[in-house]
Amino acid sequence: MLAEDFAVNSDPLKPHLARLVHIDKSVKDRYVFHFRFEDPELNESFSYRPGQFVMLSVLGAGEAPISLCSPASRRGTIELCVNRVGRVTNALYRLRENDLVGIRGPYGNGFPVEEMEGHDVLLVAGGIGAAPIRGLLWYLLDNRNKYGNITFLCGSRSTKDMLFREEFESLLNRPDIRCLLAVEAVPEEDEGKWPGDVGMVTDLFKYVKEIDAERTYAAVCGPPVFYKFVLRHLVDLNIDKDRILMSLERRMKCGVGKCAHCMIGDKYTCIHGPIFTYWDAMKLPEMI
Amino acid sequence: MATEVLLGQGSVRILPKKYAAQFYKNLGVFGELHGPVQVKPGLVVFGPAASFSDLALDQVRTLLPVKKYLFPPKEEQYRFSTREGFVEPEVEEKRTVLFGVHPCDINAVALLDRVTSWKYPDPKYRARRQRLIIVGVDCIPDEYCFCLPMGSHTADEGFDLFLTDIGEEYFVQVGSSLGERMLRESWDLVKQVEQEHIEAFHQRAEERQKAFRHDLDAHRLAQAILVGFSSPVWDEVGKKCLSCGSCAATCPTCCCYDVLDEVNLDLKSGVRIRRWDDCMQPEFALVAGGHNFRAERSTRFKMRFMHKINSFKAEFQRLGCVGCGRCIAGCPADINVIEVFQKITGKKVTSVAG
Repeated sequence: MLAEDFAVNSDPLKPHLARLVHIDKSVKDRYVFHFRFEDPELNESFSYRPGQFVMLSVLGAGEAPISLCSPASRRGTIELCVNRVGRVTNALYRLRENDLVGIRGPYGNGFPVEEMEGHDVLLVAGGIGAAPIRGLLWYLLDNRNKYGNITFLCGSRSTKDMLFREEFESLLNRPDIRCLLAVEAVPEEDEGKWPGDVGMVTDLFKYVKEIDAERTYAAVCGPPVFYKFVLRHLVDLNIDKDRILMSLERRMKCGVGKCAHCMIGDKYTCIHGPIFTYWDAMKLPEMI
Repeated sequence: MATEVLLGQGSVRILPKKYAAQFYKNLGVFGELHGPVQVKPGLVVFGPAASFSDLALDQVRTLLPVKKYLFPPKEEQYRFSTREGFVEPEVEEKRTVLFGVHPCDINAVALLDRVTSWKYPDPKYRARRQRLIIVGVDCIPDEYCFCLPMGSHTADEGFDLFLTDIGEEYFVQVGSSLGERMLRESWDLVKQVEQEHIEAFHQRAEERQKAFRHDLDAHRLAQAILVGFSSPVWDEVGKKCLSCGSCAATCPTCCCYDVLDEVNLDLKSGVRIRRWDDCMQPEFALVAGGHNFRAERSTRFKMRFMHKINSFKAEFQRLGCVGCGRCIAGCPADINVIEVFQKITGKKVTSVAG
C-alpha cells in the first residue's frame, strides 16, 4: 500500500448526484445550467478556483469536461455554460429543471489568482470563451482590493450570441473595471439598444494602449482562431509570454491525469492545465 | 518447532531446481497460481498454471503483459441510477500469484503503480495491485529485447520474490515482507547463499548483458524527440502505421482508457464501463464539434512517444518504455521502435530480423 492511499479516502472518479435547479436560456445552444449537489454538506463545501472544470455526467449519455463559469468566490450553486455540440451536451439539453446529473471535480490548475495579486489584469473573451473568463472576472471583482486595474474585453458574433450580456452591460458603468464589449452584428431588434462597439474583439485593443506591461497579467479564452489574433495584440503590448494565460479544451475521459486523451506534448490538460501560458503554447506542439 | 528469528541476514536464498516444482506448489497457499503458459505454437500468455510443469519459462514474452491483471481490458466502473447515484460494483477478494514475470514487466508494473497513484490515486487499480503477488524469473533476451538500454533489465522493486537462473539452482531475492513469508513456506527447500552462488549470479548477469545487440541511448531520447519534432522519421513511420493499436494493447505501460455508459432497458439506470483505449485511434483527440487535434497518423505516433518518453521522464523521472519488444513482435506493419529510437537520436540502425 502506498502512502498516498492513506491521504486520499474518496474515489476521485465517482460522480456525485446534483440537481438541475435553473436553466438560463438567453443564448441559443449556449444555455447556462445551474446545479446544486443533492448532499447539502457537499454543496456547502464544494469550492474551486476560477478556471477549473468539472466532469459532468448526463446519466446514460456519458461524461464530459465543462469549465466552471460561476464565481469561485460565491458558493452554493454551480453554473456551467454548455455549448450544445456533442453527445453528452445534447443529452443535457433534453433535461428539465429538477432532473439529476452526476458531477465530480473540481479539476485542473485554474488561474493563478494568488500570483496575480497586486497586478493589473487584462481579460479577453471571445464567444464561448466568456464562460471561464466570467468566473475569473467575478472572482477578481469580489476580491477587488487585491488587484490593480481590471480591463475586460469581450466579443461575440451578435448581441444575441453574447453570453451573460445583461451582466456584462451592467459592468459598463462600474467605476472599478474597464469593460469593453464588441459584437460583429447588431440585429434589427437590438438597434439603438447596444451600448458596446460593433466589430471584432480584436478591434477593442485600440482602446487598450496605455498598459503597464511589466505588471499586467492577461487571461484569454476563445475559439482557436481567436487566439491567433488576440495573442498578436498581447505580444505587441509587450506582456511577457508567461503572464499571458489561456484556457484550453481537450477531449477528456478521466479529468485526473490517467486516461491520457487530453495530452498536449508532455502535458496533461487536466492536470497541468486547462490554464496554460502562451510560453507553454510556444513550447508545446499542437496546443492550439 | 519454534520460529527462528533472523535479523540482518539479507534477503537472498538458494533454491535447487529439483525442488522448484514443490516450491511452486507451496506458493498456492498465497493465491491462485498463474504464469506464462503456451496455448499454441508461438503464443504464450499469462494464465492459470496449476503445476510447475505447465509453465513455459523458456519463452521470452507473453502476448499481453501483467497489466491485464491490474487493469482489465474492460471493467465495470460504477452502476448508476437516478435513485442511488453512482455505486461501485463489488470487488473480488481473490489473490493471484503470478509466477515467471520478467524484469521488464516488473519495471512496467512499478511504473503503472506510479501512474495510478499520481495526483489522484486510482482505487480500482490499487485494490487489484494489493491482491497480485509477483514472482519474477530472469530471462535471456531475443532480437526484439531492448530492456538493457532502457534500464529495465534488472528489477529492484515491484516483486515479492525474484528467481535468477544460475544453472542447477535459482538465486532467490526477496522483495517484500509477503515474499519473506512465501519463502518461509518452503524453508526446508531453500538454503543459504554461498560465495559461489554470488559469483554465478554475476556471471549470469554478464551472460544476459552480452545477449543484447542494439545500440540505443535512452538518456538522449527526450531531448531528441523535442529537437526532432519535425523530423521526417515520424512521417515515414506514420505512412506505415495502420492505427491498429496492437502496440498499445500489448504495451506493459500503456494504460490509456475510454469510458462509456451502458443504459439498462428501464432507461433509468445503467453501468459505466472503462475499457482500454489507445492513442493510435483517429478519434483519440477528437473533440465535440469535430476538431481533431491529431488527425494524422504521424502525429499520433509521435504523441505516443512524447507521452512515454517526455511526459514519463518529467513526471516520474523514468522513461515509460521498458524495452520488452512486444510492440515490435506484434506490429503487422513491421514498425520497429528500436529503429525509430535509433533514427531519432541520429544513430546507425541495427537491423532486426522481421
